[in-house]
Parts: sequence; C-alpha cells; structure tokens
Amino acid sequence: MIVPMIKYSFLVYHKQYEEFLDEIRNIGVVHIIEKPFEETQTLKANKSLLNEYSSTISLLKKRLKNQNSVTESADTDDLSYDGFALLDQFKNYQQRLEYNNQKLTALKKELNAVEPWGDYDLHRIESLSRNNLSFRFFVASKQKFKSEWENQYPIEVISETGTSVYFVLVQANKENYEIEADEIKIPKVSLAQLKSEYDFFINDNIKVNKGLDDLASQINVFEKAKNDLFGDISYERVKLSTQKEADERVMLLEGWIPEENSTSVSDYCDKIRVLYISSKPEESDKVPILLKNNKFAKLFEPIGKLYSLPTYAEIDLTAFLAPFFMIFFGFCLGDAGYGLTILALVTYYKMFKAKAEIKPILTLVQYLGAATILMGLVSGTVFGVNLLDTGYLLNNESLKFLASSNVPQDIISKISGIVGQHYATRDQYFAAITGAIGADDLNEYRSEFMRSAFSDYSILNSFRHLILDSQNMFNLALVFGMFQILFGMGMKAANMIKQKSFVFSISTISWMILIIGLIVLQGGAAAGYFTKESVTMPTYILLGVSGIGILFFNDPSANIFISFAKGLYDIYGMATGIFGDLLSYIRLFALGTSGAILGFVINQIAVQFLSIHYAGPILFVIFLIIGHTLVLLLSVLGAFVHPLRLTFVEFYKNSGFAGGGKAYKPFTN
Amino acid sequence: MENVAVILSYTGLVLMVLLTGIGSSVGTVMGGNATVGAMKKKDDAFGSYMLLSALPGTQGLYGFGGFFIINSKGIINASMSMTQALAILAAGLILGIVGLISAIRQGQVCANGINAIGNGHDVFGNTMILAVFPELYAIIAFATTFIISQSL
Repeated sequence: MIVPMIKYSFLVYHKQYEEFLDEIRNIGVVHIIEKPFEETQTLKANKSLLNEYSSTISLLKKRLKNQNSVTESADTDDLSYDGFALLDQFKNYQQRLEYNNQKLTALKKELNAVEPWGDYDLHRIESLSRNNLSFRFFVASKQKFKSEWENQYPIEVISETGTSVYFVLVQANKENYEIEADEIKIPKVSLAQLKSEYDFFINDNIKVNKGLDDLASQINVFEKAKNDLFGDISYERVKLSTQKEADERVMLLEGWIPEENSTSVSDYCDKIRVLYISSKPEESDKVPILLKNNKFAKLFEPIGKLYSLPTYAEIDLTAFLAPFFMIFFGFCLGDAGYGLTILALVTYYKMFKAKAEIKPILTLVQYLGAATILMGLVSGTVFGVNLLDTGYLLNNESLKFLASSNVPQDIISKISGIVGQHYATRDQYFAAITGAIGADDLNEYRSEFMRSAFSDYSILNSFRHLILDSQNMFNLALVFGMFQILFGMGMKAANMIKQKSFVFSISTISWMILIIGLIVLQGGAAAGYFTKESVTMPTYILLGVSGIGILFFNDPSANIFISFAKGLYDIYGMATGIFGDLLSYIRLFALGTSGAILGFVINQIAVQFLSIHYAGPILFVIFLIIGHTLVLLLSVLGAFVHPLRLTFVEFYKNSGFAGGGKAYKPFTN
Repeated sequence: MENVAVILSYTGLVLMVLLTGIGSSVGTVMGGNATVGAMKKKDDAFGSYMLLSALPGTQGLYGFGGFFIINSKGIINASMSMTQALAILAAGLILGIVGLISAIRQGQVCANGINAIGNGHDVFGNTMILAVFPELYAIIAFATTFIISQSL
C-alpha cells in the first residue's frame, strides 16, 4: 500500500527560519520539494568532501577486513575525534605511501643495476682517476665474453649472473682499450647507500601502514563525520530550495508529509505561529512514495524496488506479487531437499549469527525455502530422488481399497492378473493396467488406482498419489501463468477504477470475462463436461458481450470510432501478447525439470563410487555434498531471476503497471 | 538402415550437448572477461558480476537435460524407427542451435551490464531481467525437446 501524503506550503518569517528548519529536521517527516537552484561554492565543496569521506571509509573498511579480528574489536566508540583532522591525516598517509612506493620502485631499479658491482668506494675510484688510473665498467653476455680477455687486458671480473658477466678494466689515462662489450657509466651511488635508503622507505611504509591501521580502528569517527556532512548538505539544499518572498522577509518552503505524521508538524507550526497551507495531491504532482505493507508483503518490497516504485496514483503491487514470486521460486528450484537445506541453514544463521538489519532478507529466504519444499513435494523430487517412480505393487489389500472406493467389481476382477506384480515406474504400472482394463476405464479410476498401489517405501503411500508427473507439472506451469495473467488484468481494472472511473476498466474486464468464459466453455467441452453443441450458443453470447466491451469501451475519452479502432488494435496485441506471455511460464517447468535432472545425475554418479572398496562410502558422501551444493547454487540463481522476469514483464505488463515513483526521503538528522 | 537411425539419433544428442555447451562456455567467458575489466574500476561489486557472468551457463544445462530425457527413454537401438531417429535429430538441432545463439547473445547483455556496473551505474536488477529475455527461447527449445521425448 502507498502511504497517503499531504502537501504542505510553509510561510516563515526570515528571522524564525533557521529555528524552524532545525525543528522540522528534528521532527524528520517532511520530504522537501526541491526547486531548481544553482549550487553554491560551499555546497560543491561539501559534496566533494562527502565523496572523499565515502572513498576513505571504503578503503578503511577493506583494511579492517584484511586485519585480524583483534584489531577489528578495537573499533573506537570515542567520537570526540575531529573527523576532518583524521581525514587530513589519512590523506597525508596516502600521499606518503604513494611517494614511498614510487621511491622504492626507483631504488629497486638502481639496486638491480648496482648490485652486481658489489660495495665499492666511489671516492677512491675518483681519487685514483685524478692520479692517472681510471676504471671502466663493462657488462657482456656470457656468450660474448672471452676468457682470454683476462690475459689480454687489465680486467677483473667482478660478478656473474645467469646470462651476463660484469667486469672492470683498469687503465692509465693515456691508454684506451677497445673491448667488444657494453660499457656502462660508473654508478654514482654505492650499494650500501642505496640499501640504507631502501630500508628507510620500507620502514617508513611500515609506520604509515601502522598509522592507517590506527585510523581504520577509528572508522566510526569517519562515519559520523560523513553523516554530519550529509546533514549539512541536505540543510544547504533545503535552504537553496526556499523561495524568498516579500523582499526576502518571508521564506516559502514546500514539502510532502505522510498523512499519519502530519499532526506533529502542524502542531509545531501552530505553536510558533508559522503559516502553512496543506492540500491533497493533485494529478500533476510528483508525490514521493512511501510503502506500508503487512509483515509478509514488506519482505518482498526490495524485490519490487529492483524494478521501480509505483507512482502515487497506482496501486502498489508488492502484496500481490509476493505469493506468486514465492511459489514460482519454489517451482523453479523444485526440490524439497534443497528447500529444506535452504530453510535449515537460513534459520540457523538467522537465530545465531545474523545482524538485525539483514533479518528481513533472511525471513524472505525462509519463505522461499518453504515454498521450495512445497513445490518439491508436488513434483516429488527430494535431493534429485524421484518419489514418483518408487515401485508399484497391487496386493489383496489394494483390491479391498478399490472395492471400497466404488470401483466396479468387473474392473477389479480384470486386474487380478497383475496383482502381486512389481512395477518400477508409474508409466509401467499404468501401461499394465491399460493392458488389463483399457485406457477409458483407467482414466475414470486413475486416482483410485494410484492410491491403491503400494510403494517400495511405505512412508510414501499416504501422499504419493498427489505427486504430479512431468506432463502435469508442464500443465501446472501454464495454469499458474494463466492465473497470474488474469490476476494482473484484474489489477489493471482496479487501477483504472482508482485512477479514472469504472468506464475505463470495462475493456479490461471484458477481456477477463472473455478469457475465463472461453476457458470454462471450450475447455469444459474439450474435457467432456459439456457437449460441443451445448456450448455453441453461450460462446456466441460471450463473444458478443465481451466484444462490445472490448471494441467500444477501449478508450472512453475518445469518440466511438477512435475507440473502435483502438479496440481492433488491442485485439491484435492481446491475441499475440497473451499467447506469448503464457508460453513464458513454461520456464517454471523447464527450470524445475532441468534442476531435478542434474540432481538425479549427481546421485547416479555418486552411487558408482560405492563399488570402490573402503574409500567408496566416503567418496560417495563427499561427491553428493559437493555435487548437490553446485546444483543448488546454480538452480537458486535461475529460480530467483526467472520469477523476477515473470513478475516484471508478464505480470506488470498485464497489470498496466508503469512505475517510476521516487522514494520518500524525509529531511532529518 | 537400422544403423542409420542410430547414427541420426546420436547426431541429434551430440548437437544438443555440443552446441549448447559451446554457447554457454562462450557466454560465460564474455561475462568473465567483462568482470576482469570492471574489477579495475569497481572491485566491490564482484558478487553482481559473478551472478551476471553465470547466467549464460544455463543453456548448457538445458542441452544436457534434453540429452538425459531422450537418452533415458532407452529407445536408441537397432530396432528403433526412422521417425524416432529423425525426431531426436530435430530436437538436437532445435535445442542445440537455439541454445548456442541465445547463450552467446545473453552473454553480451550480461557483459554490457557488468561494464555499466563497473562504471558506477546501478543496473544490476535491470540487467538480470533483460538478460533472461533471450533465455526464454532456449527454455522453449528445451520444452519442445521434452514434448518430442514424450511422443517417442
């Protein structure tokens, strides 16, 4: 349900205005109507500061996550620190870290260049050079370096790496040797000096990281500073949205207040003598949306918001999509064992570990788990095991049951040949009965035959006849689809009545009557409830009556010819649309079936492990757990997304849901 | 002649699993590649990226499901009829080709969504919904395979 809103226009004397705004913010129920305004420098600066806080908080959160729980528990509650000063400190640390890292990269490069030459005294080399003895540094690849050079030239090999040889040539300043190797400049910094610089930056980084860790433990201060700043920004925006009248002496502010909270504001205004006008929303108003649903439907609000909030004039569909979504999720996942697993895990987590804010989501998942159990039982699938084909056996007790269920004695006597025979699957069992009594009699007493057969597992006897086979699950998916489409049309008609008048809903109601009528009459005739002749006349009447509604009331605001033309176009749209929409619901069956098949295959493979001696049972269990976990995760994804599509496309389309409402955000602390 | 029927049937099964499998692999890789790129810009939305990347994976499963439904009928043998064989081949072509193309196209939608999320747009829900549009046709192909298998 959408909470009714009232529009308030406040006229406040300029000297009172700051006090008024403070109190309005304390009450915290007014959604201010923002007017177009030019952003001030302060507002721009505050917005960029807010971004800095947000990015800092997310960086610090990551840091906290990477630390162990000891540091995390050191979260300070002392909010007396200055958030801005801490932010400054954080930025300094970040800059230092960046500078240090740049330095370290450069030093690392230099170290790599100097390391092969070892530690030497640059001053001595220079003083020797002044005294007519110079040093030249060379590097050559191992392939190029010739060992005879050591005899030919005054060289000394300093070091060798995997591919290169580093050597020094000592010569008198007059001499000039030519060697086929790369001469390099004598590094001007010694290895020891570089190492000490490198260590300095490494140590400084440790200090900076320690400082950042300390800041991370004060994340609450950052959060508070961010919230305060957000408050300041909202305040500034409200001030900028104020219209100044009468030489800036009177301030005009407009806002929306939920009807149920309006007295708190009007009482305050009366008390301090602020003039205000309150009015109900008009059609052209863009009213903010606040949803108020019962406990169950409230859980599905996040799902509805994935698409869009309704506009104020529309009916909120959350409560109506909830049961469908739940059942559809169950249908797609379709395995009672998986449902039970989800329900058990989520219940445990919710009871012992979950934080309060995520509990509603967990409750939603509990409902989805319960729906999965239900739909899993309907299709007879538990952890990939098919409960339907669990052996069929007729015995004397079965015959007594058949007799007591009014099955004629001659039919019972015909099946005496298959009493005592065991059939593995339902198909085989029915094939045997068809052979004995014929298909017509089987169809008539199908339910009795299903109930009378004993399963290999006695626990199933009481409900196995209720389990639907895959053909029936296919049909059930379409039935659910037809039901949701019709329900959507009902919502569309209700929306029309709410937003305009009954006349505008006649076309939609006519469509509903036509579809339901055709299903009852033609479907009933096809199923043998009526004769074909007896439904001919009612069908014509149905077509006539609904045709008038569809063609002549399509658009009551236009003239009759335009309405008729629009009606014709509508017929084309509906004929193709409904068929497509209905087919879309096949996904419920397909996802359920493919999930069940995968689960079954996991079981089949796992059973193979049992033949291995000793390790077999362990591998069996491990494979089952891993396999079913994977299938469950994969199926859950599909089971969530596909009902979303059915809701947002098929259901919303047939409900005429437009959406696009903006959320109610009160001006508050 | 009997052998031809068996060959046609297995060709159908091969196409079913092969093409849908290729489609799903390509589709999920598209999502994966986009994820790697998007992680550079926004690394805290990996959950959304992963879910979107996984979406095109279902076609491969439909292919396998179709193979399983038909294979478990136990009719592929020397005594099978040519009609049955052609029905299986048809199912393989339908599910294989539709699965192949829809998975790749779905992967493109997902990859675009992942890029957009990486750039800071809040389009996870919207992408999810749009991405399942092409999948419907793979689902219909799977349902078709199921209906064909019922009549074998």
